Amino acid sequence: PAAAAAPPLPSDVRPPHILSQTLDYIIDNLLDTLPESEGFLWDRMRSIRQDFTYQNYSGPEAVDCNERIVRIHLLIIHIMGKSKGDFSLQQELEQLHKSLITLSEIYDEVRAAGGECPNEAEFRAYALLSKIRDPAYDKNIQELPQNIFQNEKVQMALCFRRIISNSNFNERGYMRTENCLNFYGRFFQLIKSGKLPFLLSSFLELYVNEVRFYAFKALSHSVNKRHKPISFKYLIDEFLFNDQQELEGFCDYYSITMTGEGVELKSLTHHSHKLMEKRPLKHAYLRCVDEMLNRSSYPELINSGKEDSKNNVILNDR
Amino acid sequence: MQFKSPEKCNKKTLEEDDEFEDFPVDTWPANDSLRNTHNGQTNLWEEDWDDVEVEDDFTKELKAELERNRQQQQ
Amino acid sequence: MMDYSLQQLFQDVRNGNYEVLSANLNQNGHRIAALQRELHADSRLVDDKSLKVSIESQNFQFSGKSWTRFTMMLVSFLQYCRDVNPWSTWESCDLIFKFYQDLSNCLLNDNYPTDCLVPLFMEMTEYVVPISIELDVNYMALKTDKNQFVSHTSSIISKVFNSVKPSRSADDDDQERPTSSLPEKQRILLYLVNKLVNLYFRIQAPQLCSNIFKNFKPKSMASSFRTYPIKQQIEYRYLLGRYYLLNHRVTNAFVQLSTAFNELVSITSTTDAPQVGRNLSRILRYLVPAGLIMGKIPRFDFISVMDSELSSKYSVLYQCIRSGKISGLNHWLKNHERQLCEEHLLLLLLEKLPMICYRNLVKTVLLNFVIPQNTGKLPYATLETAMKLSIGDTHIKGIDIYSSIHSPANVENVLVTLINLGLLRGNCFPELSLCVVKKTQVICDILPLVQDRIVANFPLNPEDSWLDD
Repeated sequence: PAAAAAPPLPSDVRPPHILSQTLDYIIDNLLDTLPESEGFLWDRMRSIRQDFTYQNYSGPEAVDCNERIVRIHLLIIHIMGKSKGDFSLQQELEQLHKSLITLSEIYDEVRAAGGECPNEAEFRAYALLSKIRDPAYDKNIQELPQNIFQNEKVQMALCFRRIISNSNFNERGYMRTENCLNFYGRFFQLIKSGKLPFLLSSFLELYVNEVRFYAFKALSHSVNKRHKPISFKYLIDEFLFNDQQELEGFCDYYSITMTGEGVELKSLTHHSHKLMEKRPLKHAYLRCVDEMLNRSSYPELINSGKEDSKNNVILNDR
Repeated sequence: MQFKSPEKCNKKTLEEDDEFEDFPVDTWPANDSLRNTHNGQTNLWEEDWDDVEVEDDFTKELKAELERNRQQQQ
Repeated sequence: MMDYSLQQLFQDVRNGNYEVLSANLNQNGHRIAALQRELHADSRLVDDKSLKVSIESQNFQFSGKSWTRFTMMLVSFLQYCRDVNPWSTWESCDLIFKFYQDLSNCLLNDNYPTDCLVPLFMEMTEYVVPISIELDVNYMALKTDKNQFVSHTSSIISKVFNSVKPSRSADDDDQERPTSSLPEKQRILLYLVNKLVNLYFRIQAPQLCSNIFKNFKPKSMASSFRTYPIKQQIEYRYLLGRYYLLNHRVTNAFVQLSTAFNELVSITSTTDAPQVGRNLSRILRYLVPAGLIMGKIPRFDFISVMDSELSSKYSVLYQCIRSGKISGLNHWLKNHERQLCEEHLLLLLLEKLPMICYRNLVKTVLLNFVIPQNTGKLPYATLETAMKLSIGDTHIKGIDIYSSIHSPANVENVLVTLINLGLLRGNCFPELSLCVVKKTQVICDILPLVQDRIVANFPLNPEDSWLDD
């Protein structure tokens, strides 16, 4: 029939079960090629998500694929932090946020229909960390059922939101608020405690440099004008720098003076961790987080959720 | 007009309870029970009692602990 | 049974008696019933097209012009009269919303005499809002979206709000017009704002409020905020305060809620109106926690006169904060977790009370240890002893919001944060594990008054200053 538009090519839109298999293949065969394959994986995962969107499909395969894609992005954040190679963190995060938003929309729909997805809490936790200073996320999580709110990963994310709240935080468009904690010490203690899962720790690595910056800033306000330089050892231990070289790189970036004895905190003059005139400092990786990777294979890490099959999406009677 | 539905949900949500109700406004300033409390003040807050020392169980325990600590140091 | 006819309706409309167009069955039911009988009896009027023709034949004129939207609104009204089922909101709601929407459409174009329809619009808003809420409460049974009807109603009201424009003529800016000479839409501007904000809170989309709050002043032609009805002013401040609290902007929230409270107390007495007492409780529900975050000391005997439950609940919390007992603070939060979540207060308090609590703990240590020794030296070890006692058991296996944020090991971090917030005057010596404060007997030289520091560091939103002019 001439009037009808040409049907989409089968290769353009893959059905849900094929999309799941595509992702299986990536997880089983391609994750080991990271960090080199980061760009390729980014593109393939985006195209899986697009195919679900084309079909306006939000069934169990979409939930499962989006969940695993989020986990892959989190793994990539750590791997790329450690790698010397160049990549666009901003693009990576954009896709991560989109997947998290898709997921929370589906979770809401399922809940409105009287059901619940088995891995919801884990991804609500990541969402809380993705916009870590946006109070709207605090509002939303308090409206969700008790079993989600009290889930350990959600509780972890909520802890970190409090711990890194900081009344001196300064970024365009952000409004400072009262009595914030700025508990940088606790931030690093908890990450190295071994109590956090790897993927959550990997996400938190994104905030490491920011936490270090405002910790330096806060310390410099608290020490006496004539205080002697703070020793490298103290700073490396307290803020989990991997070595002195990393600490020196950090001080260089923020134009903080170093002497033979240590770091002159008082020489830190910037008020925001974001420097207009410079490229952003590459996000940090922590050795203690990297060591967690030895304990499990990539596919184990990514396929770690409860299965999102139709049977597991509990649909209660209305 | 009646609303008929199979299962009527009567649970009062907080959103509902949070909403202001319409209320009458006095046109004369008489009979003011609230303003008469606290000698005509409507202040909800103490002016400044910040320097008054606390004397509760926790503080007593804390003081004892600090004292023990001090003696150990000497 | 009262008699009424289409002919009388047209006459009333011609005379500007628009109250006859109310869809409220409780107030206007007799007319609607009479019109329903007539419309069913007259076969010439039974379909929509002939209804329209018969209205058009009346040739209503407004300053010599016809007004299409007005005609459409009349058609919707008569359709409503003809088809309404007085026993079922669900079956009639399409008709009600169609009429309400067409009525609101008339208000959008200021080239027509919209003033005369404003009272009817307000009356219909009062009628439609509870209906939309009731329908949404039953969304599961009706198989509609969760907030479908309230969202729809809010979108109608927001169009009217958006259509309100300040006068553009230069003269108006210079001379203050008395409120009574303002266009009707201007006079109901705050009414619209409050209605919308309440609906946005209800559908849990308070982010939509920000545009309303932002555009209110630029739209207003009132010579001052004070010229709006006092009840609306109080409700506005209450809503604005809650909005700030959701955004963790405590100082701004405190000021608005506090003003709302004081003004409500000053214009009413609770003795003869239980609504006033309930409204005071509503304000206190948010004002008391905001005050605690500001470091204020509530007068619980006064609060208990208005709300004894709230008073006894928060006095327990206050005791913990005052003595610096973090474990007590956490225990209290945990005990009230569900209710605080519903009020959206749990995470706010979890974040914003600990530093006040630590400040008071440091105070006890200063008063009993540092000041008597007159050295100005606060060793980390001493404060760590106090923190151990304050935080309590730290041997908890997993991570949760009550046990994992605080640790006695973070003495320095606590001191550094207090110093940065301006709540403690002193210097840290990290490698000596020592904090040095001024040698003085006067505690407030070391620990300034909390509220003074907060007010100095977190200024009020200048966009709100016109509320107090």
